[in-house]
Amino acid sequence: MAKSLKAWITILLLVASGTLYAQQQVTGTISDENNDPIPFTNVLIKGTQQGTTSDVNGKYSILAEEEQVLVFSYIGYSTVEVPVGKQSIINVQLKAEIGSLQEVVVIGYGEVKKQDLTGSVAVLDTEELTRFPVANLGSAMQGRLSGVQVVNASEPGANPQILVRGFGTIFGDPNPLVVIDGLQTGVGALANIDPNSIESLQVLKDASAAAIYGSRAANGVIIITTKKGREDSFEVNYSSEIGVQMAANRFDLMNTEEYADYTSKLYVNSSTGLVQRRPPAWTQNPDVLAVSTDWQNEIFSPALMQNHNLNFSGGGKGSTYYMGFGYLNQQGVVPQTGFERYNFQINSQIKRNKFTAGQSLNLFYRDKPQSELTGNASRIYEVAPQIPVSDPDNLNGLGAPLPSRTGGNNMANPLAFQFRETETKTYGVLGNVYAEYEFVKGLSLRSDLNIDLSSVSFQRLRTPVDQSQAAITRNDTEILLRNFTNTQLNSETILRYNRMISDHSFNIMVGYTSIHTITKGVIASADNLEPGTRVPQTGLNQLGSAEYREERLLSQLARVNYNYQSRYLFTASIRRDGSSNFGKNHRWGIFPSFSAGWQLGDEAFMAPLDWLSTLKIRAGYGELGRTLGSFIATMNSDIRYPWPTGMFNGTAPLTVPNEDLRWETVKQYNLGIDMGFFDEKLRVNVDLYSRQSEDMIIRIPVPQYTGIIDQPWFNFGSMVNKGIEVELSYNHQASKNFNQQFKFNITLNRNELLELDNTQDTLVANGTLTTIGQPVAVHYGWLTNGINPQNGSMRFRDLDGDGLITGNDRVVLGSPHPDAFFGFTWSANIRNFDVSLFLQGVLGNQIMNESLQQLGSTHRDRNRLRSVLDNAWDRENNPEGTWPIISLRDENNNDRISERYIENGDYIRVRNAQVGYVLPDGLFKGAVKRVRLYASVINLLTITGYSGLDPDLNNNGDVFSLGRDTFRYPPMRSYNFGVQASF
Amino acid sequence: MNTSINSTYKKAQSLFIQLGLIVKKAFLLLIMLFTISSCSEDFLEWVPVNAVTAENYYQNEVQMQKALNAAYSAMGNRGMYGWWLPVVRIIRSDNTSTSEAQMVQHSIFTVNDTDRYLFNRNNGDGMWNSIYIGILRCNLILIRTNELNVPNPQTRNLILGQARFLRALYNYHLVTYWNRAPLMLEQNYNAIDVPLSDALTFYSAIENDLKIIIDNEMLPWTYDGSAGRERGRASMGSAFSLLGKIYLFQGKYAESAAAFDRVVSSNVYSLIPVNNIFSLAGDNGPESVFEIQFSNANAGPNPFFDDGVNAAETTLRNQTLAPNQYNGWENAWPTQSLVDAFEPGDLRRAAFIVVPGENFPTRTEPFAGTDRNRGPYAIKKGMGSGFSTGTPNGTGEENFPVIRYADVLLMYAEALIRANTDLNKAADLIDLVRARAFGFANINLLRDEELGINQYAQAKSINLFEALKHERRVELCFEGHRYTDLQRWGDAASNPILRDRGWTAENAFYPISREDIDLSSLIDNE
Repeated sequence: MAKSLKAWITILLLVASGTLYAQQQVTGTISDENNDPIPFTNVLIKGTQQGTTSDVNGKYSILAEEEQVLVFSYIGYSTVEVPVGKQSIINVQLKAEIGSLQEVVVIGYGEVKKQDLTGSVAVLDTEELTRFPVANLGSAMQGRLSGVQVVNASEPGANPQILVRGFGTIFGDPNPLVVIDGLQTGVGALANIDPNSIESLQVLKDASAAAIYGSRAANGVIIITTKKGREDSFEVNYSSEIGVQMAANRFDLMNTEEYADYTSKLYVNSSTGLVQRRPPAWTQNPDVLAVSTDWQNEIFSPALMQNHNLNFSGGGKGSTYYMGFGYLNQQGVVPQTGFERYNFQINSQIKRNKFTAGQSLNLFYRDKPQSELTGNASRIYEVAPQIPVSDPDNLNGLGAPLPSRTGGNNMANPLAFQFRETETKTYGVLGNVYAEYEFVKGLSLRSDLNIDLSSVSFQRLRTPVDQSQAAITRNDTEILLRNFTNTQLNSETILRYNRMISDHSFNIMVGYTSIHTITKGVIASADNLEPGTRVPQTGLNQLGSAEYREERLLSQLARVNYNYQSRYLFTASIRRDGSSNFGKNHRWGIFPSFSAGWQLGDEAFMAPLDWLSTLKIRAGYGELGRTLGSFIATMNSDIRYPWPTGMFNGTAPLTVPNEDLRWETVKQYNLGIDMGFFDEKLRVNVDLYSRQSEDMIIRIPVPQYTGIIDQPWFNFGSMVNKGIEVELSYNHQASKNFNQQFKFNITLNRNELLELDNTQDTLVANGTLTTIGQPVAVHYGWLTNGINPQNGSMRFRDLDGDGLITGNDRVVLGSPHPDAFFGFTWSANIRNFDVSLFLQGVLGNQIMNESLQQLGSTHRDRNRLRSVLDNAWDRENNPEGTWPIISLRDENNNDRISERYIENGDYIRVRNAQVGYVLPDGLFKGAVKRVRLYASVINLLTITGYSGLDPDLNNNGDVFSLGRDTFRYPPMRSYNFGVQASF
Repeated sequence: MNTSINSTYKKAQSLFIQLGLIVKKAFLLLIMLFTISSCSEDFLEWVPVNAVTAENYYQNEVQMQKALNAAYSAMGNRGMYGWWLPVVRIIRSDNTSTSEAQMVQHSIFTVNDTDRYLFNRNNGDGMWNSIYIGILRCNLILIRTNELNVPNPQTRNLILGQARFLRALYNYHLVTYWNRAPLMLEQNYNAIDVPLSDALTFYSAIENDLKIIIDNEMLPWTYDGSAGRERGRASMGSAFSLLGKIYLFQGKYAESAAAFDRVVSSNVYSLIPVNNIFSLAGDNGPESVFEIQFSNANAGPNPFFDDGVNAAETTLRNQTLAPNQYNGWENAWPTQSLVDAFEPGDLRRAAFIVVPGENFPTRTEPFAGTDRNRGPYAIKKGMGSGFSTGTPNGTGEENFPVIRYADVLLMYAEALIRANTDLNKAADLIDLVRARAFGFANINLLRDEELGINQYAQAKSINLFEALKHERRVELCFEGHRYTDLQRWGDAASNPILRDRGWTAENAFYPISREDIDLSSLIDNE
């Protein structure tokens, strides 16, 4: 009874209120800045659950009371509140949210507000890109992004190696997919872009973010957008940098006197009972001993670098443009190496009512000369020091040493390699053309045509290194030309629908894409050139061939983003890919992902925590795929046999065909937390991940007795990368004239092989062992056991106790995978000055120092490290020596891979230190807006225990050469000066 | 009420018209876009033009013939007769000397763990690798040839017979050089784990292959030179000769003699003049029982490659053995002991070896000897087509005589001597070879000059077997037979030159490749 009475009173009160406050009909049109109607806009009476949405013409109608407030909101636009008052018609114009655009993250086939992000995406601060100019975008990422390990290649124009969350594959390219304005390409394209024209760069690290790229995203995705103009503006920017680069490190090698001592021992010590050997004659010849050439000094010379960019951007009503011109010329410290690049970027867009069209085009030309000295850098280090820089007894002063000057070291004067020219010139276009039609607000269809077109022209001209020999014969001469074009066409059709229904926001995308790649080329060569010319002798040894490759990929994709009040966030995506690289049985793969986020900081119960400005938790799971670079050839039809009646063709297997080869799958879990403290002054992001590769496409080495030439491919085994990524940034505004910023990121990663295949649990290749429970491709070799006092050879440990030193005595010597890598940036502004310091490093990896293995070897007549003389065992003079005896004889294989050559690869490097100054405003009048001058040093200092030239080792993506320091391009240090101006 | 229905209807109508317009526009756009995307899964249904795969091979006679060419081609690989085999086999013998470095490089009488690397893929002499590449090619032909792809039974036999002979020949190399090795036949051709088989197992597999050829008369005695029947292909004579040789190695002397008798009584073969032995003039001639074909016609720029357009089907042997004086690499030179073995008047000395003052083939300036403490001689046999240094290296093109008639005659004689059945016939066979060597038309003229083999044995106070050994040594020098001959005779241990070089029973055969030991669970370090 009491209950029903209460209910009645409530009803009465409601009715009464209805009669007390008169409701009125309010209508109106909602439009954007261009007066285009915005349909499906949320219209809500503030403080209530009552509301409606606009129709397709942007019109709405709602019953409201005088003192109520209408809230108009639409995704991507700033929310507008209008008190009802006496108005019966309320027309509203919504403005696009400029401020929030900067917080937008491009995630592939669309973008999302950073606060609504559920996946793990690392965003490069493009301001840093402007501040620390680099030649290659890849290098710009080194140490800047957590989870992204970049290993530099110091040679100008060479690509850095980029690993997202560890080595994810054993065979195949470990580099991420690169998407430039929607164009899907590889890391090689990073060298073709002018970093100055980059608007944004983000790395999709976890599968829930990257799965929309399906089979191409197993190694993560780098998404790059180029700059666009803004409407109703005009801006000119100019930047210029010049610098000088020097070899940052060099080997401490023997001079002539020391080398004569070494060589004498080398020959005398290799005498046997039957043969007595004497020191070579040159070691007693005072004329020869008088010459001591430091070849590193002769070869490495300071090299200039210049980098210029001029761009115009702006727009009128409904149209925008950006035009940028870039020029880079980087010479190398090794003669004949360098990199030159011209870039012309044109981006424009027109918008008329519901139709938008535009394009971004990057036209580039690049020229990369190479030297044969960098392909085999030991030529610089092992050449005999007693050869004069210009040998008066040799034609042109070059060539191999005369016998009077040498014993067994006949390596040619490295300067002679200047007569060999290798050069790659590339012209190309990276571009995108698109059209978009918006049927109604929120529903749009966009079609993109992307093109990656390059024409590559490679030439190699070899003239004899031994110039004296060239005078007599045409030996060793060659001209080789290779021209090919790569054409990649992607087409994409994407239908998008964005809708907000009161607090529910939907973002739906379905799409269809195809990629078609064709490579066509010709290669031709001739040798035996007429002496002193580039003219081949007619009719002899001329060769031509053609190459043709084609690949196709077809995909269907869909994604739904849903959030409730931007507080509970969900994303799901699916992609189905078909690749022509697989046989029919396994051509298609499906790659789903799901992720969710919770803006915990927005919850009411978190409000009392003033110091906490944001707190978000993210979790996701996704599956990605990997295909092979190309279809696998299994037969070789290029075999010949000369029957008496002519040359006949033969065909035979190269490898065992595997018709069941299928996609390699990467399954990835991600858990992340984003925190902001003290009004976002301090931001902390932490991500935990587990990235598991399954059914890996593996080449199984098979014994030679199988007769198989190329190792066959199988889907076998699994591998996991687990890790933690932490990013910290802190902004400290001390006063109006002084602020500073600290940024730090560190990634801990552990790689582990879980399973190999059903027939074997180890894979031994190139001095590495891959076995279950260990990281892939760990260093594998013998343990030394001191010098044998009988003969000065190295003793190795007989671990299996069979009395012999065999392959079974090898053990794991170290891991080439770093435990952690990190980056730290400090920058400060003091009045018009700015200072910044950027450090970067790697911890916990071991390097197999092959340069020590070669230059520290005591068994060849080649120039050696000076330390050889101190360390080599000698019965009389150095019985305590720990390196083997200096002798040509080495039946024991003293230099085999052992713990002698394994060193810790930890380093901390001051990658960039910079001081800048912004000219006072008063200095210029009128057009000049801002001028900044700066000076910087790149690669200032490296703290490391590693004895080789550079612990930052680029292995070109081959897991089996990971952490192996063969001779590479010497590390460079550069001193730069630059100016940046805007008008 | 009516009006409100009306207005709702009108609203709906305008909405539909608008929607219609949208749909129309959308269709136009979609058609445009999907034309670009070629919206069909046909996009992927296309033959992979990038590669020839085994799926689409071995379908017809032309392809089987190409597969057979490839099986022959591996015999000429750089690890085989195209380069290293004729070099590394002769430097194991007492006929030639080489440098200390070469001895180490080619694993001559040193067995330790590192030597096993010599036979690793891409890292060694490539002989082990090439032999098995050839065996796989043979096995695939034997498996894939059938009534459907080669309907003509005669052609089918011809293809199968050649594949069997080649497999037997590859296996002969394995068993005589390594003694124990994995035996790969049709039934285990694609196995990855294979144990080592011993010599007896190898011999019986080789016998089996050759007997199948012989019993089914799969091959002709001679070829007419037409397409698919080019001269130089494996013949009945090749099969009988290899069978006789295999029996000889096993001590089955009666069977051996019987096999060789078939070759001699076929009357297909005869001896050619001394100067034509192992020369372009002798290629595929009446003395040729089986030889590896080489040609300079298509010399690619990189003779170090086995296959491909860059490869040259020439031999690098000449380049490698020619004297330094002519820019050869002189990796081996004749020993004094061999030069001393030639009797006065033996034409073979000047045909096979060059001494200072004599002329070297294709060069005008006379041979000056050598200044590097190497003895004054150089190899001349098989060097007639010349060579070149630099690029392209090595343009030698004479065929390599794996089995020639003189060898057959001497092996036949050996079988008779060892069986102790018909020593007179044995002497006749040897004297056939000697009559040619001393320039006589027949053995009677030879014996009249007291140069017959029995007269030689008498003068040297040795038995006929020892005399035969001498004859094989000088006749077949530098053809890679000497070391296996010494092993077969049990003479390696007592040979002073081999003893000085460190020969022991343990290092008499090559070690198994380190790589293969690592990759196989059934093979351990020996």
